[in-house]
Amino acid sequence: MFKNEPQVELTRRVTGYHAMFLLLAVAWLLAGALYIVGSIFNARTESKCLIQLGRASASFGIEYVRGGPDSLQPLVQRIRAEESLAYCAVVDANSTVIAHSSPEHIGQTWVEPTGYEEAWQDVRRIRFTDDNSRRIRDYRIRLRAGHEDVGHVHVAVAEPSIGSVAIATAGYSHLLLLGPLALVVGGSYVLRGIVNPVNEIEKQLKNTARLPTSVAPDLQPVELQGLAGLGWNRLVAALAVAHSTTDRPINSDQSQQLSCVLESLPEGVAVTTLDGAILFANPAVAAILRVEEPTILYGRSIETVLSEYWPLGIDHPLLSQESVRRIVVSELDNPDDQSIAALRVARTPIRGDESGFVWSIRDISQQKLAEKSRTQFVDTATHELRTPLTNIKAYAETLAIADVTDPEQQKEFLNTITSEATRLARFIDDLLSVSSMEVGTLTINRKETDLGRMLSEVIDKVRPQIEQKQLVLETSLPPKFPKSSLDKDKLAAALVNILGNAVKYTPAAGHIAFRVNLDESHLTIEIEDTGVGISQEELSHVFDKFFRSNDPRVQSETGTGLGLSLAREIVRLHEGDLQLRSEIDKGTTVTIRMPR
Amino acid sequence: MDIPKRLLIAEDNPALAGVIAFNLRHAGFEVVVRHNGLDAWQDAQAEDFGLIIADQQMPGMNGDELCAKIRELARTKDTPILMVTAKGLEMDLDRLKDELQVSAVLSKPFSPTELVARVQQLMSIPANCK
Repeated sequence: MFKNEPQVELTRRVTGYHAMFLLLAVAWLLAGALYIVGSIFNARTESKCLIQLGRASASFGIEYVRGGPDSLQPLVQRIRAEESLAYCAVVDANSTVIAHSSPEHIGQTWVEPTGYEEAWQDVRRIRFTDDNSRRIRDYRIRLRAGHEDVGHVHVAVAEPSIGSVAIATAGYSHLLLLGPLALVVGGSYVLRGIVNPVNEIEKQLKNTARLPTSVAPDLQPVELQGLAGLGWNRLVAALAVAHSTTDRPINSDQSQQLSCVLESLPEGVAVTTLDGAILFANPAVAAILRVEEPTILYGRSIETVLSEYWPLGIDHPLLSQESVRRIVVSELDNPDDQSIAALRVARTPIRGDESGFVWSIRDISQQKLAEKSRTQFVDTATHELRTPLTNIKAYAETLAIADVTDPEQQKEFLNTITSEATRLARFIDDLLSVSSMEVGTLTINRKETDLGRMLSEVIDKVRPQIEQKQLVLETSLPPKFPKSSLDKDKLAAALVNILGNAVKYTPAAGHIAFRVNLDESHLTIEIEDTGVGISQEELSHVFDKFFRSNDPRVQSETGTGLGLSLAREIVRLHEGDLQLRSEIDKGTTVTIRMPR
Repeated sequence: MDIPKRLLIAEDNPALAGVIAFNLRHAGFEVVVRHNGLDAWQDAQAEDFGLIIADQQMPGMNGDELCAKIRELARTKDTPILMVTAKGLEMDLDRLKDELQVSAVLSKPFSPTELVARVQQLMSIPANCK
């Protein structure tokens, strides 16, 4: 009944069936009642009458022949009494009553009652209401005596009253009542069958609604009745499965966000089991480990994967199974291969269930390089500071203790002490300037400067060395200098340094040009020499701190290696720039250009 | 062996090389001065020196490297080496002593007399005659 038909909505079904059963019951009741009443009534009354009529007619006919009309009266009485007739009468051919159950009517003229008349065969029936308001049925049949029609016989019955009907039907009452009862009871069972599973479902839903939102619903399957019950049970089963595979309900929005975050991190994040099998890796890990996609790593041992470029010994702390609960941090690098990045790898146990490790992998190559260059800086600085100091001390001690008898040698030694001291002082100055340059605290103090005077002072400073080396200095200065706002000390120092370089590294009888140009917007200073020049490989390094050319001609001169980088910075702070061009053995040109 | 052996000085700073050479000569030694690690290495390969003085920081080849190379060469593997260095506390003394088998280390600034005394001490240890 429930299988394939399209289902009507529950409420309609229930009320429909309910109404149907009720109506059926009522109809049964009514029908039964009516049937009983009607049929009994009709059957009994009709046939009874007809039988009476027939018998009466027959017996009256015989009696008439035997005893004449007057012998009929006792018969009439008797029939009336036996059969509970309303009356019985014999009427002759002249419509005169010759016998009647109520004797007073004998000799009277028979009057046909007026009513509803029906006739069939030789019976005529009239239904009428008499003076006592009883409904009477009068049946008339011909009376034949011998072969003669001598009149009519009338037999009349009264239709039974309600009381008599009730008594008559009492025998059938059990059938009358049980039928509808059975329908109602049976019907309610059917209804119960429809409603019960839905009722149970409704109850569970209501209970769930009453639960606080933090508590998970606890749903039970219902007895299998009908499609709704089936569907419900499937739902409950599915929920149970979903609950068993996830410990906590995941808010899908949050996990999507987390996923995006991990994908975007530049730091490598990976998750492994306690044995090191990779369960998850983000794209940053893939990039560091030089694989195309993180999924390639899944299932592989992190030890194997790392060891490809960063060999890990068996005892490596990152692989230790003893200190599983501690955070292990390690720096990995491959000193034999510069192209392989330096890594900082940290291994943490997963909080909570400690079912594995979370690895953080960071490329620290840049950091390492910076550290290396800083270490180099410190190394060079200490060397440059300690060497002149050593010389000063060594020479002084030698003079004091050893027998330096030769006055020339004595002088030489003392001069060395002095020059070393100067060198040391200058280096300390440069070092401090470079340090503040590094930190960003090197600043210029612009003051109104007489540019012309500054430039001539610079030239004067180097003039002794120029004359000593018999170099030719060619100057080209503009006739007039406007007042400029510059840091005179620093700029002068930078120029002295550069000009000094030109002088230092140009062999005797060489040529130095010092050209200054002024246009509306800029000041240009060019220092060109015919000195030893700088090789192509070293050209890119000239501005490195402490860099000194390997060229022996340069090595033989004193220098800190800091001058150029300082000079460039000073020019930059004046919003200008410093360019250097050079060709080995030909010479060097330094060009400074800045807003005036 | 009694023949005064020559000493090799590898020091890039001319003034320092000068004062070391002066003091050693004054103490009776013959010295060869090189201002470059590579040049010093060439000389070490070519000649038997009684002692080699090397500055840890030099162009061409620094003191550590020079030491390592000298130790690898069979002929010079036992030659006493005196390392002069500008590094102070930050130096890895253990490594110098164990790995490179440097015989003595002097930190700058040092006293020349002390240097001479050390040289004499190291030279008086009889070297294996080969």
